[in-house]
Amino acid sequence: MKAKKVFSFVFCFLFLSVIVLTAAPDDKFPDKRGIRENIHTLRLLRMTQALNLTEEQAAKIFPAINRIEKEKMEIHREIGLKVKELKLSLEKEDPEEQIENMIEDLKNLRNLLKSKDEEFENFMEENLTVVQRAKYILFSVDFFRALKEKVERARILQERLYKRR
Amino acid sequence: MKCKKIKKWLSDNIDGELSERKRKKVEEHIQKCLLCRSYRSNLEKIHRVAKNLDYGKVTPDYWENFVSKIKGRISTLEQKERKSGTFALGWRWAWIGAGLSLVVLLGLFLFQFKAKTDQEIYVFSFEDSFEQIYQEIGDNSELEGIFNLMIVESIGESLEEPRSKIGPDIYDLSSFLEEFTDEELIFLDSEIKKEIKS
Repeated sequence: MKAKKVFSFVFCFLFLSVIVLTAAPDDKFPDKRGIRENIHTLRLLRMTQALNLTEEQAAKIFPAINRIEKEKMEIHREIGLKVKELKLSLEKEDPEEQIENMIEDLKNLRNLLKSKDEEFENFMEENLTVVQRAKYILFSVDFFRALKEKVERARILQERLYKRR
Repeated sequence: MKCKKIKKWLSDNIDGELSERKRKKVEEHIQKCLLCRSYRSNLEKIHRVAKNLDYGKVTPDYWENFVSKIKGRISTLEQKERKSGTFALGWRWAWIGAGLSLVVLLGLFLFQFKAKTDQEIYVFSFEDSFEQIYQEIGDNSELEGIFNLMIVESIGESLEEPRSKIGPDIYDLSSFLEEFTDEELIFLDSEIKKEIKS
C-alpha cells in the first residue's frame, strides 16, 4: 500500500514535471532535450525502486531534483548559445580578447553545471540513510552501466535494420 | 601347337616326367620357335644353378637348440621395440608439454590484454552519465532514436502501466531484438523515422 502511494506520488510528479519541462519553446533546447528528459525520468523511477524511498523522502527529494534539473537544463541552453557564439566569433575572426571572454564564460558555465551536480549529491546525502546512500552509489554505477548496455542494444538493432533494408 | 603348352612340357621334361611322344613334339616345336628355345635354355640354366647350391649341413644339435634360439631372438627384438617405444612416447609428451605451455602463455597474454581493454569506467553523477552516453551515440540520429525508444520502454516497464496505455509497439521492442519479422521491422523503421523527425 505504502509502495503504491509512493509510486502514485512519483508518477504524478513526473507527469507534472514533464508538462513543465515541455512547456518551454522548442528552439530553446534544439537537441537531445527529449532524450535527456526521458533518461532523467527513468533515473528517478529506478532510483525510487532501488533506494526504497519513503513517501516523505520522495516528497522532499523529487522537487529538489526537479529544480536542479531545470537549472541544469538552463545552463545547458546557455552553453549551447555560447558555443554558437564562439563558433561565429572564430569565423568572423573577432579580437582575441572577446574570444577569451567567451572561453571564460563557457568554463564558468561548465563549473556551474558541476556545482549543481554536487548540490544534488549533497542534498541526497542529507536526506538519505547510510544504507540508502550506499545503495545510491551502487545504483548510480548500475544505472550508467544499464544505459551503456541500452546503447549497445540500440546499435545492434540499428545494424540489423540496415541489413534488412 | 601353343607355346604355353610347350613351356609346361619343357618344365616336365627337366624333371624327367615327359613321355617320348611329347618329347618329340617339343623338339619339333623348339626347332621352329625361337622364344621357346630361349625359354628352355633359361630353364636349364636355373636348374643347373639350383642343383649346385650348397645349403650346408644341419646337425641334430641345431634342431635341438632351434626353438630356444628363436625365442631368444624374439625377446631381443621385443626389448628393442620397447626401447624405441619409450623414446617415441617421450617425444609425444614433449610435444604435449610444449602445446600446453603455449596455451597457458596465450591465455595469460589474453587475460592481460582483456584486463587492459575492459577496464570499467565508474560514472556516478547524472550529468557524467548523460555526457558519456552522448559520446557513445555521437551524431548518429537514428541510433539516438532507437535508444530513446528503449528508454521510453523502460519507463513504461518501471511505471508498471498496462500495455494498452504505453502502447504495444514500445513494449515489443525487447522482443524485436530477439526475433523480428519483416513487418515488425518495417513498422519499427517507420516509428524510428517519426521519432527522429519529431
